[in-house]
Amino acid sequence: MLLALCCSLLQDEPKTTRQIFKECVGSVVAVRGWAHLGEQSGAGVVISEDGLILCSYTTVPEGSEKIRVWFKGPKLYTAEYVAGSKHDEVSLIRIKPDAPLTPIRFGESAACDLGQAVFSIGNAQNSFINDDQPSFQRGIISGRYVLTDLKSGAYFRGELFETTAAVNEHMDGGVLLNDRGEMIGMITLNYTPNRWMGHAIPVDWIRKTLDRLKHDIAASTAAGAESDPGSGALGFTMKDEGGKVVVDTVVENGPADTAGLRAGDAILRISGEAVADAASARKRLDGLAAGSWVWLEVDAGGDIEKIKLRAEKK
Amino acid sequence: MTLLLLAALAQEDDLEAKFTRSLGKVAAAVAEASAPSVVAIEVDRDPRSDGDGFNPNQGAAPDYYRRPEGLVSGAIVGADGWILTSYFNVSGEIRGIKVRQDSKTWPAKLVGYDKPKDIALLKIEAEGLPVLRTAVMEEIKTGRTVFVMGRSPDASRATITDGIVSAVHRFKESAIQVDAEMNFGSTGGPCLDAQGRLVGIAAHINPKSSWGQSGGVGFVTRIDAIEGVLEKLKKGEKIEKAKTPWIGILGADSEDPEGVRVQEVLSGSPAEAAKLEADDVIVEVDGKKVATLAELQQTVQGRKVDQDVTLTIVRKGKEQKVKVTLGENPNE
Amino acid sequence: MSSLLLLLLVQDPDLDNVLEYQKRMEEFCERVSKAYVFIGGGSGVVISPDGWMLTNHHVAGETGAEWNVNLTGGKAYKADVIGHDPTGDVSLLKIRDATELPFLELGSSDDLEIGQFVVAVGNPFGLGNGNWDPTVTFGVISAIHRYQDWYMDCIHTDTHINPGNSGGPLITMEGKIIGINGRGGFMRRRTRVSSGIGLAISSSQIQRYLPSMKAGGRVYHGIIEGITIAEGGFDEYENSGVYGEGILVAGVDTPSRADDAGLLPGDILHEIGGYPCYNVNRYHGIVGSHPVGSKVKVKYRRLEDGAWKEHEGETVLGDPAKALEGEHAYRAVLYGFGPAYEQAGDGIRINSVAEKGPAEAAGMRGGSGRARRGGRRANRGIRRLRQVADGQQAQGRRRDEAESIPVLSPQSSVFSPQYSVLGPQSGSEGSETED
Repeated sequence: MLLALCCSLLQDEPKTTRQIFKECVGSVVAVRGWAHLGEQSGAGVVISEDGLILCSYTTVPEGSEKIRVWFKGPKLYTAEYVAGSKHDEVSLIRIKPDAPLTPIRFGESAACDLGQAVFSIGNAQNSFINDDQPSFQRGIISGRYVLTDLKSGAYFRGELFETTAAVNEHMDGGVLLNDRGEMIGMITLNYTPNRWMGHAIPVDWIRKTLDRLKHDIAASTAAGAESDPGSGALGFTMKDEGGKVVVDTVVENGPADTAGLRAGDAILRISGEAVADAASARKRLDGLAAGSWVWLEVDAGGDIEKIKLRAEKK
Repeated sequence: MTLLLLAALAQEDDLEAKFTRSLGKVAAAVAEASAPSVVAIEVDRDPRSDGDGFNPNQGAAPDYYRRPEGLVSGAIVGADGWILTSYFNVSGEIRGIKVRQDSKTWPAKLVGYDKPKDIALLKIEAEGLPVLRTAVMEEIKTGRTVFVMGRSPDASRATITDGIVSAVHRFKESAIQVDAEMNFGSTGGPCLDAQGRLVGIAAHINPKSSWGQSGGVGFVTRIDAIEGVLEKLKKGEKIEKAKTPWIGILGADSEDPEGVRVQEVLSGSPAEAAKLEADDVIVEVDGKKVATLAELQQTVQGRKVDQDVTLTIVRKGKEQKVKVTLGENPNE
Repeated sequence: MSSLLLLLLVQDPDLDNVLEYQKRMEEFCERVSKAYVFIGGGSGVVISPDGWMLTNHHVAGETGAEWNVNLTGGKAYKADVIGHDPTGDVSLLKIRDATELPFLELGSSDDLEIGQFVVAVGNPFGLGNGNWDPTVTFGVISAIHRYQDWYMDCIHTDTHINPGNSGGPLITMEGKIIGINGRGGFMRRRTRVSSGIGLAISSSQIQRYLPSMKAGGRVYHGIIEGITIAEGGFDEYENSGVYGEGILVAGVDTPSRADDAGLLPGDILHEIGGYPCYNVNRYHGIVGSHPVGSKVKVKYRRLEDGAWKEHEGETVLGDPAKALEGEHAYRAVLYGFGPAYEQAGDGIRINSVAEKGPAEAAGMRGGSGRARRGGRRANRGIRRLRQVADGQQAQGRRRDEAESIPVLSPQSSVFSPQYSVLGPQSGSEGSETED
C-alpha cells in the first residue's frame, strides 16, 4: 500500500521533457503496411505485454499486408492484423515479442484541461523507420472541438483534441501524453484550414473502441489469427420465426457450416448482446470485417452452445 | 567536484521539470480565467468580393491561399460591448457581423478601424461583460511567455496556444512577434502574458502573408499602440494609412562622434522647422544614445506624430540640444 | 469574477515557477542574440571573439564571396567566406576588423538528449531587416542523427524554423551551439512555412570540418572507398536477418581502403568512428559527416566456424572524386558523394548507369552524358538520385530534343532544388573532354 502510494507519488513528480521521452519511448512503435492505397507508414503504441499494438486505421486498414512494426533499437517485427474500426480510426495488430513489452499507461481525456502540457512521440517524416529516431514533440492542449470535414485520410468524426505539439506526415497513430507519461490521445492527421493545427483522438474514446473490439482480441489470442483481406461473410442467412431469430440457410463449407451451425438453430446472442430480430442481427453481422471473430450463443434444438465464427472474404 | 556538478545539474533539471509542469498549469489557468473575454466572430461576406486584393477566384489554389471559412476571434475591451478584432477579419464587402460566445449571439456593428495596425473595433449591445486587465508593456522582452487565445472553429470552446515573444520591434513598433501558433481562426483574439494580462491582439494574418498557418511566426498589435487610437476608433474613425512619425532628414551612421550624420534636411520637414543643418550629428534622442541610423529610426517610430522630442546634436564640434516636433511622414 | 480568479493566480506556485523561468529565458535570449549575424537572405552566428562566423552554404556561397553583415542592433561589418562545404551546406566566414565580438561556442550535438530545450535565432521572412531585431523561437530536440534529404547527420527540432532562419544557430539552454539551422520539413502543408520540423546541421559534424574550412577553400566529405554495402531496398535488407545489428557488406574491392580495414563480403559492419551503425541511413550519415582524410575505426563481426567473431580495423576516408573514375562512377552517382562536376568542368561525366536504377529511371544514360547545373549545384542532383536509391520516388521526364531532364526531389524543404541533366548529345559519342 505504501509502495503503491510511493509509486503514484513518484509518477506524480514533475518530470523534464527528456525524462518523459525516456520513460515512454519503449512503448511507442512505427508501423508500415501495404493496403489498397499502397505503402502507408505511421506510428503506434503498445497496449499489452504480449504484443497487441494500437495504431491508426488510416495507416493500417483492414486487409493490410506485410505489416511491420519497429521498436527503437532498431528492432523489427512482422505483425498480423487483429481487428479494427474504420470510423473510430483504430486498428489493432499483433506481434510475437521476444520478451514482455511495456504497454503504455492510459490516462483520462475527460480529466484533461485546455492548456495543459502534452508531449507526442511518433514517426514524423519517417524518422523512426528510416533513422531509428522516434520523434518527440512538445506543446499544450490548445482546443477541443469536432471537425466535420475529413482530411488526410482520417475517418474519426468525433470530438478531437487540438494540440500545439507538432503533427506531421506519418505521425498518425502516435501517442499524445500528459506530463505524467500517460496516454491521453492518439494522433490523427485530420485538420482544418481555419487553424492548421495538430489533432488527437481522445483516449476515452479509444478505450471505448477497444472494449467493443475485445471479443475479437480474445478470439485472436486463442486462435492466432492471420490477416484476411476484403469484407467478411459468415456463410449463413437468418429469418424471424416464432419470436426468435433462426438460421435459414447455411452455405456449404462456409464458416457457419464448418462451425456446426445448422438451419433451424436459434441465435440468442451475438458477441454477448441479445438479438432482437433478424433485421438488426443482419445489420450487426454485415459490418464484420474479414478475419474478425464473432461469438454466437445458439440454441441448437434445446442445447445452448457457444459457436465461434470467423468472417471470411466475401 | 563531480558531486557539485551533479548537484548543479540536478537542480537545473528540477527547475526545468517544475517549469514543464507549471507552464501547462498556468496555461490552463489563463485559459479558464480569460475565456469569458474571448469571443467568436461570424462574418457574412459576399464571397465574390474580398478585401486587400485577395482573389476569390483561385479555384485551383490549395486551401491556404483562400480566406478559410469559419469563425474568427475577438477580445472584449469594454464592459458595455466594445470588441477588438483584426481589420482583416472584417475587410471586404461584409453583409453582417455577429459576435458569438457559447450559445449567445449578438449582432455587431463595425465602428472604426486602423488598417496599418490591422485592428478593428466592433460594438454590441451588452453590459457587465468581463474585460481583461492590460499588461505592463515596458516589461515586454524577447523570451517572455505568452499565450494567444481564440474561439474557433467552435463558438462554445475557447482555444489557446503557447509560445514566447520572438521579437519586439515589428511593424514600426506597433506590433511584437511571437512563436505561439497563430492562424486564421485565432486572428483578432487576445494575446496574454503568464498572469493573464492583455498584451495585444493577434493581427496581420491574411492569405498573402506567410504567417496565418500556425507556422510559429505571428504578430500581436500592442495594446499600448491600440490604446493610442482607441478613442478615435470609438468615434468611428477609419484609419486607412499609417501615420508614421518622422524628423525629415537623410542620414548615415557616423563613427566619430558616434551617431547619425545629417546628409540632407528635407524641405518642409520638422527638421527644417527645427533648424537642423547638414553635417549635424544626432547623438541622443530624449537623452537616450542613438548609435546608428537604424536606432534613430526605431526610436522615432516608437513615438507619435505631433510629439516633441529633444535631440542632442554635435554641430562643429559642440554639443547642443534641439527640440523637434515630429511630423507625419508623407512618403508612407 | 475573472479578476478574482486572476488574484488567486498571483499566489500560485505554478505561476512563480513560470515567472522564474521566464526571467532566465529573457536574459538568455538577450545574451545569445548578441552573437547573431544578419547576412543576405538568411542568418549566421559568431563563434569566436575575433570574428569566425558560421552560416549555411546556400546563404553565403563559396570561398572568396564578400558580404555586408549586421549584428543584432545594426552594427555593420564586412565578412569574407574563407571555407565552404556545399555537401554539408556550411560556409565559414571571417568578419573583418573584429575584436571582442560577442560569440557562442560550439557544443557537442552527440551529447544531446531527446526532449532537451533549445532556442533558434534567425530572420524568418526577413522580418528583422532594418530594425535588426532577430527572431527567437523555442522548442525541443525531436530527434538526432537523422538523414533527411541531403543533411546526412542532422538534428530535428520542433522549434519553428522558417525561410530566413537558414544559417542561424540552434542553441542549448547552456548557451552552446549544437546545430546550424538549414532546412524545414514543409511537406505537411506544401508551403514554405514551418509545420514544426526544423533540420539543423549537427555541431559535431561541423567541428570535424572546422580545421580544414579555416585553412580555406572547399572541403570534401569522405567515403569508404571500395566497399559495397547492401542497400537494396527494405525487403532484402530486412529479410537478411541482420536488420538492426549493423549493415551487411556486400562487396569489397581489392586493393582499396575498405580492404585496408580488413573487411570481407558477408561481414556485419556495426560501428564506425565510435558511432553505432545500425542501418544504411546511419552508415551514410556517419561516413558522410567525416571529412576526406579522417582516420576512422570500424568494428565488424564475421561468421567464422559457425560463430560470430568481433573484429576491428581502421581506414582512412577517401575522396569521392576518385570514386568517379571508371567502374566506380555509377556507384558514386547512386551514393551521391560526387563533386564530380569539378572534374568535368561545368558538369559530370556519367560513364555508366546502373540498369533499372534510379539514374536510368530519371533518363540518364552512360557515355557522353553531361550534367549541367540548372542554377543549383550539380552534386545536389546526385544527391537527389541518392535519395532515389534509398527507395523514395523518382520523377524523370524527358522534356524535349535537348533532353533536359529535371530530377525532382519529392520532398519540399527550405530550398527545393531542381537539377537538369542533359542526355547524350546526339552525334558526339563519349568524347567530351572536360577542363
